[in-house]
Amino acid sequence: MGRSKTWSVTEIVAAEYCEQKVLHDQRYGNRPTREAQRAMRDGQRDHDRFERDGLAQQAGQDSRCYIATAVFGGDAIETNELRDWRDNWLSLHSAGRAFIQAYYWASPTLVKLFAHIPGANSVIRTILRGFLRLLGGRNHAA
Amino acid sequence: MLHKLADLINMFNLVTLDRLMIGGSALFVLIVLIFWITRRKGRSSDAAWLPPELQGARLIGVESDLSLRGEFNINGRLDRLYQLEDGRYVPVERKNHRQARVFSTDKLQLSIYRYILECNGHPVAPYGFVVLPHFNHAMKTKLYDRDYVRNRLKRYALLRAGQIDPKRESNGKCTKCSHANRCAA
Repeated sequence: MGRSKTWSVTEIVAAEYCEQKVLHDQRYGNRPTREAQRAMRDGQRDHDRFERDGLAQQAGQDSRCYIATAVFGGDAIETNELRDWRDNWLSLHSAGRAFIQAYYWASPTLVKLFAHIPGANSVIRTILRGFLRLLGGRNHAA
Repeated sequence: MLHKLADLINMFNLVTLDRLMIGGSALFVLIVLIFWITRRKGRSSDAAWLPPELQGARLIGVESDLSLRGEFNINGRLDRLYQLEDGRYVPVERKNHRQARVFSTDKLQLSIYRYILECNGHPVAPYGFVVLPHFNHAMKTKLYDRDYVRNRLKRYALLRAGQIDPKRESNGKCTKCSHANRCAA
């Protein structure tokens, strides 16, 4: 029964579409028609967007704080202060939640980008520390 | 002299800090804008299609690679995997269908993912979802049980081994098939 062979779920499901096609694909190769190729391209584009949305949603559930973790470390005081700000202030407002989503959507790419720019991390550290000082001032004032 | 130099450095630091903060804020505003625009242009957002069953669920996998080794060796990549509060998994696939319906291929695909997860020891809900972005909707579908999927896998193995005759489609699917001429001949 050829049990040692590994199949993909896509291959197996193709048999539900047409078993004869599976055998023809096996024998002659799978050459999609132009119409099918165009549909596949469109589908892939939308699929990529679905994946990005999913990753952003997944990151939003995550307790990590990408940029702060990258520049300060996961358990640093600054990272924890920023997490507090996210959880106790930003997440309470709809605009704040949109910001969090945007942040998680963009930050993995930004972190990779910063890794290639010499000195970028120290600039980000300075910005974030300045921002935390502002937050501290506001909190004390309140 | 040294005092003046220290003042100058201090002033420079403040100016630099101000600039960096303005630059950083502008960057974040830009990110939010890009995100907002791309979300608006998108055909659907998660909030639009997320069914009530998945509202409190945790998204634990995006493009998750699943594999099974044993009686059948299968690899697959699931679009999304959610975990309900009771611990059960729910598989979700996104499809570009122009009709608001779940096709038999979708149901089988989700059922195979269920089979793989269960064989690997994970509890899975008896249903999955097919997300149809064109309709901003996720269609719930009852999944096949293990015995059914196992029989389908056995049939596939026999088919690939050339031990059974293939079923041929004769409906509209053939018009999109590159092998249509071979079947006609």
